[in-house]
Amino acid sequence: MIVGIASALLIFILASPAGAQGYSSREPAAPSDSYWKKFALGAGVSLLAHESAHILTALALGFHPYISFDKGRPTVFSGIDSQRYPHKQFLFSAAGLTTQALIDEAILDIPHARGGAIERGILAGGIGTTLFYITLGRNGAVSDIAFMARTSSSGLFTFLRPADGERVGNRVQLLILAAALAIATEQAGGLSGRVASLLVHYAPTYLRSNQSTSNCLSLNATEASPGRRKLRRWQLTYWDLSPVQLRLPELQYPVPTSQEISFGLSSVREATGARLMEPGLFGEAYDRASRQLPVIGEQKDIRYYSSPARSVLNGPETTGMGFWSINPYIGCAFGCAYCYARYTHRYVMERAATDEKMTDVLGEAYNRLPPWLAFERNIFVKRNAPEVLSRTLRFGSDRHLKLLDGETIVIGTATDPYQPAERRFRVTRGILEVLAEHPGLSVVIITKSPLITRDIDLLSRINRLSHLTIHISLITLDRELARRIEPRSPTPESRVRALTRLREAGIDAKRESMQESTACRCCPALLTTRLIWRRW
Amino acid sequence: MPVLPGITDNPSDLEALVKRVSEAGATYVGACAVRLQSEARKRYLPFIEQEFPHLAERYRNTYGNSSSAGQKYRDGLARFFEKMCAKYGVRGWSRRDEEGDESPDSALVPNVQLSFEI
Repeated sequence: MIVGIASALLIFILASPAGAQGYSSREPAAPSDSYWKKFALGAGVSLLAHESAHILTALALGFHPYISFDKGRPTVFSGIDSQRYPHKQFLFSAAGLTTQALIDEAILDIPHARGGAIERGILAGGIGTTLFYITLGRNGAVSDIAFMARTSSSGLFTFLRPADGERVGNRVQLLILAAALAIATEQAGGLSGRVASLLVHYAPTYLRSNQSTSNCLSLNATEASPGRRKLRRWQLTYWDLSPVQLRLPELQYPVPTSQEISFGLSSVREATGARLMEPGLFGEAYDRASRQLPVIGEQKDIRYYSSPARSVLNGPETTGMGFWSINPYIGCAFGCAYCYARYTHRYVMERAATDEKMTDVLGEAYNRLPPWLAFERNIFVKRNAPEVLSRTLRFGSDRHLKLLDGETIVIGTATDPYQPAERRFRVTRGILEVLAEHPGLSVVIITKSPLITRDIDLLSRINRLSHLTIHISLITLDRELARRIEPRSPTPESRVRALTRLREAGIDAKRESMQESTACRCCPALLTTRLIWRRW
Repeated sequence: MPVLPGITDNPSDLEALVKRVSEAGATYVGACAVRLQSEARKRYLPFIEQEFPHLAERYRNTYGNSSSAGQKYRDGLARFFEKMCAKYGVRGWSRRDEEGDESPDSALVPNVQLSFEI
C-alpha cells in the first residue's frame, strides 16, 4: 500500500491571512501591495520547501515519488510500500514539517538584520502548515501526521492521531505538551537545541516504525520478574516519552462522525473543547447524517459499513467464558449454515434502527433482507479497532493489566477475522500489529481462511513474545459438501494448506519459545454457545 | 469443529479429517456435535429442510426443543474422537487434558468438557 502525503495548500488560504494580521499589527504604516506579494512569496517558498523535502527524501531513499490527487487534493505520493518499509515512509512523512521547522528555526536563531516580508512569509508558512496538520489536515486520508501518529511511539504525536482513530488528548494535555515543547526548545537553546529535541522525539518513533526490537527488549527485561507488571506498564509509558499521560484518568471521547472526519471538525472540537458546528446550524438533517453508518465499500452483493468502535475488548465478565474477545467485524461473508453468531449482527442492526443511525442504503437492506442473510451481506467494519486497542492496552483501567499478565484474548468469537473484508480493510492485521508490541500476552485466533498466512510475519513475532494459538475451523474434507454448508468459505484443502504453512512458520519460533503455535481446533460454536447460555 | 449429525459425522470421513490435519501439523483437534441456539436454529433448520430434507425430521426431533444433540450421540462422538486423536498422535478435547494443561486456552477446556459430559 502506498501512503501518500497531503499537500498543505489549504492552509495557505486559512492560515496566511491570520499570520498576516499578526504581523501587520506590528507594522506602523499600512503595508503596501508589494509587501503582501513578498509575504505570499515567502509562504509559498516555505510550502515549496516542504513538498520538495518530501520528494527529495523519497528520491534519496531510492523510491519514485509522484504527484497525484487524493480526493481532489493535490498530493505528493512517496512510492514507498509503507507496509514493507514503515521506517522509510516515516522519514518521508516527517521530512516536510521537519524541513520547514529547521528553516524557521534558522531564521529565528541565526543573528541577522531585521527580517523583511519574505522572511515573515516563510515563518507564517511554517506555522500555518503545522497548524494545518494538527487540526484540519490531520483528518486527511493520506496525511503526514496521520502516518507519523500511527507509527509514532512518541507521546508528542499521540494527540495528533487521526480523527477516525482513537481519541487521545484533550485541551489540558495539548497545552501541557505545547508548553513543555516550547520550554524544552528554549532551554536547549537555539538551532542546535531544536535539532536535539527533534532527534529525541523522532528517534524512538523511527525505531518503532521500523518494528525494531528495542521496545521489546526493554520490556522483556522487566518481564523476568513477574511481580513487576505495573512497572512494565510505567516503563511502556516512560519509553513513550509521554509522562503527562502517565496517570491521567481514562477519558471518554466521543467517536467522530463521518461528517466530522470529512470536514476535519472533530480535532478542532477536541482541541478547543468547543463544538464549532452545532447540529442546529444545519438542522435535523445534519444531526441525523452525522450519526449514520456510511458505506465504505462494496463487493458483489456485499456492502461494508464503517462502524467506529468505542471499545474492542469484551471482558471476561461479558463473554462469561474467562477470556477476552475481539471481533474486528460484525457479520461474516462466509455464510456457514450453522453459524451461531448471527444474533450479534441483529442487535447492531436493531440498535442502528432505533438510534436513527441508518442510511437509506442500510435501512433498505434492513427491511428487505431476512436477518440471517443481512449478517452475510451487510458487514460492519471497526476500522478504528487497532487504535482503540492500542490505547486500551497502554492506558486502560487496572483490569486491563490482567491482559498483560496473560489473560487469554480470543480474536474472532463472533465473526471471521480473515473474511474477504480483511483483504481490503486490514483491521485484523492492525490488531495483530498492536498485540505484537506487548510481550506476555495469550492470544487465540479462530478462522476458516487461509488469508491468515498473509500475517505470518506478525504471527511469528507474537508467537515469540506471547503465547499464540491458532484455530483453523474445518468441518469436512469434502469440497462439495463444504460448499453446500459453508457456501462462501474457503475450500477445505486451502485451509489445510494454511495450517501447514502456519506450522512451518511456527517451527522456528517453537525452538525459541517452546510454545505450540498452531492448532486445528475448531468449534468456536462451543465457546460462544456457552457464552450465550451464561448471559441468558 | 461442529460435527453436523447425519451430514459430517461419517466415521470414516471424520477419521480421514483427523488424519489429514494431523499430517498437516495440527497439534489439537477438537470436535463436538453442533449446538444450535435459537438464533442459529432459525437459519439452520430451514436450511436442513431445503438441502437435506431426509434429515429434517431427525433434526426437528433433536433440536426442536434443545440446543444440543442427545446425550448418547455426544458420548459416542467424544469416545470416537478420543480414539482417533490417540491413533494419529494429536491432542484432542478429552478428560486427560484437564490436568496439567498449561495451554493458554486451558480456561476453555472445562467448558468444552461440560458439553461432553452434561
